[in-house]
Amino acid sequence: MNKLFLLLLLVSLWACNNEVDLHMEGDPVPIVYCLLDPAGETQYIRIGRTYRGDSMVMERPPVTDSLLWQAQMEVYMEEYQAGTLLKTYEFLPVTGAPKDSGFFPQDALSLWSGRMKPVPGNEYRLYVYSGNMDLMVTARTTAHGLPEIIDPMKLPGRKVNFEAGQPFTARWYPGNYTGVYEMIFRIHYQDSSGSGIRFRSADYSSGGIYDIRHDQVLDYSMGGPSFFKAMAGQIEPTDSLVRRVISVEFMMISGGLDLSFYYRSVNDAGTNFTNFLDFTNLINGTGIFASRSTIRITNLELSNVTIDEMAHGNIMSSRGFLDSRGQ
Amino acid sequence: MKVAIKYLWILILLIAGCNPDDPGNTGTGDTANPTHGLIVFDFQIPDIDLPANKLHRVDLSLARTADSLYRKQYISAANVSDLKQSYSFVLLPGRYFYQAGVDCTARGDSCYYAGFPGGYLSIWWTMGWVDVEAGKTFTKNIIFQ
Repeated sequence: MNKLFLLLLLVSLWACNNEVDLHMEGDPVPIVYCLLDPAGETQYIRIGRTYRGDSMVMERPPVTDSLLWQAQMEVYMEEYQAGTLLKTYEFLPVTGAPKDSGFFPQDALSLWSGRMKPVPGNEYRLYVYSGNMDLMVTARTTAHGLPEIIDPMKLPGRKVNFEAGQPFTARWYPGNYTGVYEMIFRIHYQDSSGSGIRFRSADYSSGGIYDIRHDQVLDYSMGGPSFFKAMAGQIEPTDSLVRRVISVEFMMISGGLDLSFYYRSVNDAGTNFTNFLDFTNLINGTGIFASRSTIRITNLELSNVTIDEMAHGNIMSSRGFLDSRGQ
Repeated sequence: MKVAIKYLWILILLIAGCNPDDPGNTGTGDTANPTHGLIVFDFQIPDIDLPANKLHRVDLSLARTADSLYRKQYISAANVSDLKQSYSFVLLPGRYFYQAGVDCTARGDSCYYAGFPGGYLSIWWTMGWVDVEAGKTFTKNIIFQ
């Protein structure tokens, strides 16, 4: 009996191992990005996978194969209204389409598309299924309603002014299920020189605005020195060019609630607001499935006061702009 | 007697606590900036026989002289909106000339018969002047006639 106890003790001691391997190989996690556009007829999904990197990952990007999910996939989406399935849409891989290098660091990253126009208020369920890996990535989101913009309004005589002390206040009725916005004023101008004319533009952005209220008119004020600094940061000084402001374009990008939580989780990482850290609404994967849309109002006018300050003000005077009188 | 004196003190304190100034007064007042004055424009849409959503504020600009107003050499301009009636400017003391405009977007001949000489999408202008005093606030009602 004592021998048996001794043997068991030896076996149990032998089995003890206090070394933990922190770098165990794990299965790659699918990364899925899909932003439905309620204004678009075709929707896109980007599918990749997680990869292991070290502290030099920014200098040494991962090789192509480590970004791709090598699996046979089926991608489809279901549309629900009040809990009732309306339709199922199949998504197919896109080949040969030009890809933005910012969104596709490797051209071989998988892109899928489907012909569908999301309806605000309807729920959409995404399924990415890999049979040979026995893995299903799922997510659901509700398409947000498009905001109704009150200001800026395109009217003869009404102008946009960014003078200090007279902030421009954008106003809008929020669409249902909307939670994040970005407003961009795009200043269109022309460069004239002896060699000809070029049309160019510079952007003044509000940055992301997280606001999930739906029961009132929302507003956001912009302008003052930040406008002129944004312009000076994008328009280089010149001695040889003559520049003239042509028009202003207003863009409002809005995102659904899921995108707003994702935005806030990224924006507030490292702060006290940590509940949404690494937010994702995907099951069995990471990334985001949400809705996003852009509204544009073109051919707005910039006020004479702002044009004069671009021509003669401290921040922009070296950029070669003509004032409102063409001087 | 002591009780009467006590009640008298309470009465005095209550009277002293009353403030007869109306805090909502929008007339002449003092501003925080002693070198500048504040002018507040009450920009009401004219009351004419058109639906309210067919009339829009389009301009409220200031110039130092009447002729510079005519030449569109403004020193400041408000970002006017249909949802905002009050617009303020912080200015150095002196006389300023202003212009204000409303736009008519009613279809057909409605704008024309309501007094907009150019009809649809034409602008009804008014102008005037204001004097700004350092450290003072003034309210100016914009009147279309």
